[in-house]
Amino acid sequence: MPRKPLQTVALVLAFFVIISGLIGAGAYLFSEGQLMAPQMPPVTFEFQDQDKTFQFPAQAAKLNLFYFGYTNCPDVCPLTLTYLGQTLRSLPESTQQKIQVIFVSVDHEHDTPEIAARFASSFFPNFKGFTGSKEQIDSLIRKFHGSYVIEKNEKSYLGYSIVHSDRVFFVNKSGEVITSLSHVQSVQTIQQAIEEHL
Amino acid sequence: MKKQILFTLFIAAVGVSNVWAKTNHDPAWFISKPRVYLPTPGAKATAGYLELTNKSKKSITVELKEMKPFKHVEMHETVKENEQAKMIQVDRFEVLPDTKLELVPGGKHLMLFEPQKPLKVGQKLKGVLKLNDKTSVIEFEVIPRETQTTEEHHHH
Repeated sequence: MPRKPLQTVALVLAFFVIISGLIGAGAYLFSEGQLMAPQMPPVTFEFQDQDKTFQFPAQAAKLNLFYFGYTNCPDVCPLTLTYLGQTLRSLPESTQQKIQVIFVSVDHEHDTPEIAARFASSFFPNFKGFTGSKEQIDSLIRKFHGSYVIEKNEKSYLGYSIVHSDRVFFVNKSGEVITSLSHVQSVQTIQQAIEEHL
Repeated sequence: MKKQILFTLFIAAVGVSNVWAKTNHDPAWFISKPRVYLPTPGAKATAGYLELTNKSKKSITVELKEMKPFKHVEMHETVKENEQAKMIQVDRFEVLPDTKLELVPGGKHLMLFEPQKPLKVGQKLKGVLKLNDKTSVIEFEVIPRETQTTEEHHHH
């Protein structure tokens, strides 16, 4: 049966409304590499911290910056952690004390809590570094909607490499992810996000 | 006396030829900013970077063969796709005529494994590069991570 002109116009209009809605949602979620966090459950976890257990959000700072990576990553992980360290150094001590940077190594096969902690603190003395079992890491990274994949690479001396989320997550004292930055490119970007959310 | 002067001249000539080999006066290409980040405690690998300007009319292939005291060296490129960062191992980089190869944090880089001796900032390391089947020895400087700047970062 041939479609009436009015029906066709209505269908075209509906199509454009849906498309513009999707574009709008995309613009809301990703604004200049910054993810406006969708509804995520609060972040809760426990990791071994030397002889003690670190509990989150019980031991959360006012603002907590999370980054997932691995200590044998020579390029992008140290790059991001260096920017985070430089950002912290640029802030007054009173502001530094309100911020906690937490590096989580997803390399549960090679990194230990001690290695992760030593690695993180080399970028700034107060940075915390954790790792745990595959189950612990998988459970935590899922809460951030992040991911990682350990890929075997027999050609490389290391024997593997890890594809991982390259995003700094900002989490408040209650454990809620409030924003995040992908592929951090400067200290200024982090400073700006801290100013907005501290 | 004559012998002493000749010997001194010989030593000086050897020294000059060494400097020549390290700094390359071939006008067809030159390398700048060769540097290695001081290894991070607890990490097996660190990264090195440089820039190679090819002013010639031919492509140049670049391979890193060795850098003492590292046990092993490789070449990689960090690729950022969507939310992810991944490293891709490459055998060589190619520098097209009249272009510049830039190895920078977050992009193409040299991957250096397990230094066999402790390194310190300011130390000079000899990197053996193969450029179109010719071997060149380039001096890399060990620098601290804190010197990383926004300008160094590779923008996509």
